[in-house]
Amino acid sequence: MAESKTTITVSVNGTEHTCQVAPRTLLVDLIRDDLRLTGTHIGCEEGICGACTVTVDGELVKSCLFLAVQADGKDVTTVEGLTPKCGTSRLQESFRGNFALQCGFCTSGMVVAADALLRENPDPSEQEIKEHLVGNLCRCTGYLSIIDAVRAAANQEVTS
Amino acid sequence: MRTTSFDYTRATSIDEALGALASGAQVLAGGQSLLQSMKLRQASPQHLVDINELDELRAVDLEDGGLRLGALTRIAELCVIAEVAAMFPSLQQAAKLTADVQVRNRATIGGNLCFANPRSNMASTLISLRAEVTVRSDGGSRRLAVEELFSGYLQTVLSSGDLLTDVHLPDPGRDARGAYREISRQPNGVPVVNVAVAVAEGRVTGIGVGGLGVRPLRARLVEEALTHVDVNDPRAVDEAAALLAGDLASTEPLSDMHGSAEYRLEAAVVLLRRLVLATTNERG
Repeated sequence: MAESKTTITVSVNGTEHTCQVAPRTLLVDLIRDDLRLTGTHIGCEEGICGACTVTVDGELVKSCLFLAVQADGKDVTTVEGLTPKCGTSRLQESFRGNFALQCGFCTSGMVVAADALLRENPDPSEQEIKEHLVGNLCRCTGYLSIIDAVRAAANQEVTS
Repeated sequence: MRTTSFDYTRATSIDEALGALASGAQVLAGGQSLLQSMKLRQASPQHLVDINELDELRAVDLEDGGLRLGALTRIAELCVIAEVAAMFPSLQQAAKLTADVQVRNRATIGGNLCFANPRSNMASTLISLRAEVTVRSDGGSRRLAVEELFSGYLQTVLSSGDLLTDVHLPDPGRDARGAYREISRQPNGVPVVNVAVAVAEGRVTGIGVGGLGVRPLRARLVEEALTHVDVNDPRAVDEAAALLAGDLASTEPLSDMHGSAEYRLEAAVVLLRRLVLATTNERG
């Protein structure tokens, strides 16, 4: 039996898309499979690891715990939307400069989450960074270099 | 992982949601627990009615010296609402210790209660604050205490046509000093056990405990005992806290990979004793 599909209109990184989705399609699957934006990763797929973190109407969410139909009429930003046309953002550059990634699987979620933190709080303390990133797991770095990267990006922001 | 397929309705009014519920649909609120359990096939609803666009379920109002929170109030909002911080600090503490920012941005106070996880931060805290909920259905509306909402592990007394619409926090009283503490395996993890204590004018007015039984419970025997003792006397508080074993008789004990029933009881008694001493004494 063919699953019934709903038509939704969603803005992703500023581009409007009209898509047909089944109710059970997850936002992360729409982003990766239909829109081919594969910067957003699927790690655990049960809301634990944070690799699929995106923003919906400016709010951080895990796109594996969000139905695609619920994004109808909303603005979604993925890691691609935070990346300049040429090169990398200051935060991304800071991740590179501070060796804040090894395999890189968690990085897109980390960057989206850290970017949201810096928008809200341009000069976060180490404790605030830790609390904010508690929903993003990294199995390579031990987190210290990630915290350094966010601090360094914040310092540049504050001093520039 | 995929859920089984289902029909989806985005409700545009409470009445439309109630209509869908009456014909067998299940509520989709924040979805942070429900979607997980659907992927794991622990739940396979045929029809979900999404209530996220119902702004009337998001109102936060002062009410009879207390506060009314719409069921769709996000846990992230509880972390920042000034009235929650000022009047119900324990609720704010419990909210801040719930999961992570991504989940808090979606998870709702009503959804959290209806999922009925016995280890929920919200449930034990709301029980300690003597909170009530309004439940609406096609037939009308009724109000019940949060402690009466839970019937078993991940089960509530609500029937299929019911929609929890509001959480009512009564006047906390003078010099209210509630607090929440938990033991969890990792920061902001689902607690193994948690305890919330509400205090007014130096007297304990409510105690909620999560993770001890298959449903969150109110520690009535301990509350009663504490009304008769000097809360500045650690030994007397110890003896009262030990009565928690008796309160557990009201439900089946919880014992799983996160902790044995014996461990949970011992840990909850310690948390309870510390909380009572900290909230009733100026020096904390």
